[in-house]
Amino acid sequence: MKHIEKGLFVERYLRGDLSAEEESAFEEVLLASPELLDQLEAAERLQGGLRDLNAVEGATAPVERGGAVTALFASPRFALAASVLMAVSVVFAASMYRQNQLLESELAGSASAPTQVQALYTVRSAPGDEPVNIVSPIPGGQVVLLVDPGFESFASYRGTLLRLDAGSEPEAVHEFDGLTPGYEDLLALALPAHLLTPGRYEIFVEGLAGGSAANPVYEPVTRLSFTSR
Amino acid sequence: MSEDSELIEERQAATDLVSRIAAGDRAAETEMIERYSRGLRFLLRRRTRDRELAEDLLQDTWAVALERLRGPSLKEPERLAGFLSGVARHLALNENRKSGRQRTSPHSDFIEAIPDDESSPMRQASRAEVAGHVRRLLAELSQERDREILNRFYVRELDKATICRQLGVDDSHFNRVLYRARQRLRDLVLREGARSRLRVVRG
Repeated sequence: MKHIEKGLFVERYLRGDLSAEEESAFEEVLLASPELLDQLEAAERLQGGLRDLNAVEGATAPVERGGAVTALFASPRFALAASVLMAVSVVFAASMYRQNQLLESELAGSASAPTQVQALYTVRSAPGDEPVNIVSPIPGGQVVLLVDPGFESFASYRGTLLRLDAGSEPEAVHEFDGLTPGYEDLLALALPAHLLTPGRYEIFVEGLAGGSAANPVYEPVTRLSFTSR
Repeated sequence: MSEDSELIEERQAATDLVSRIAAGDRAAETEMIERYSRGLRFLLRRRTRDRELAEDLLQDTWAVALERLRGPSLKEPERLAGFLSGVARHLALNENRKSGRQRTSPHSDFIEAIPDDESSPMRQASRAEVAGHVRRLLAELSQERDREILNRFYVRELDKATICRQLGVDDSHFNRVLYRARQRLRDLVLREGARSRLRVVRG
């Protein structure tokens, strides 16, 4: 059974739409196919989750957004992936690193900062979730922000880190290009730590949708606001 | 691995297992149970809608299958999966006809080989967790139309042709939305499962 046929059969099988012969053949295939079992279990749980949401929240209601910042992308074009993961440094790791940094400076006799090693934890953000706050990284190293590219998939991505200061236009702080999903299918945005001084920020990510090397065409993927404290 | 090579690999593995089991190889019996239990469990759970009953029937399936395989070999050993699914279907069908359940004799020599049901991350995730992931998944869909595809198909249980006509989408887009939704949910559940295990290790 070819891959596309398997995919089409998953829902038909779960809904009992296969003939007895088709069902028998399909079950013979699924017994020895972990991939197909994965698909079946995911379809079952997707259906269960949708029904639970429908019963409680009305799952098909459009996701509601509000506020001055989100009004900027309220149009369908900018209705973006809501789930974004970020990597941040934890307070104790920052403290340990400071001590390590001082020690290494003394040993090396050099004023240059060593490569920053920070413990990471992820913070998830979606409409209705708590605002995202990260601990300001220690200057002198790199910080990595892990961003979930969401539902759609693209060949590559680019991103812009914007600083939002009250009363002024957003300022582009750093740009990323040629990103592809890596660890846990996330985009790793690495930048010098000194760029993330305390303040409010926004990451805007776009996916390469087509065009040519000279004139690439990008589509919006996600826009996340966070605060560095 | 291509589809053809998957099929060839499965048939070779099945033929090998059947001949080894017929020769008295107990390790082969364990391999077979580990290889096919997940699929049989899924099949039985779907037919019985009863988790405990499905576990009982899974044991019965192995009892019947082993008794058969330890004797004269199958006519089509390469279709071992078909034989096993047939046994499971037959037992599930008989179960529905019985007024009172009569257990088969317990076979202690293979019961321990049956993999635990909790090995699948998709199974481990609670309903609340899955609902949370589905909510996030819906929020990620940039098109309201795609949310409607999922709702109309999975919740309202409309057929594909009707949904495509109502929403003005073609077959390939419909299939892609369903496929990507399943993949995305699986990714979210697996990621959360891995993170939970990491927290346990760090904690």
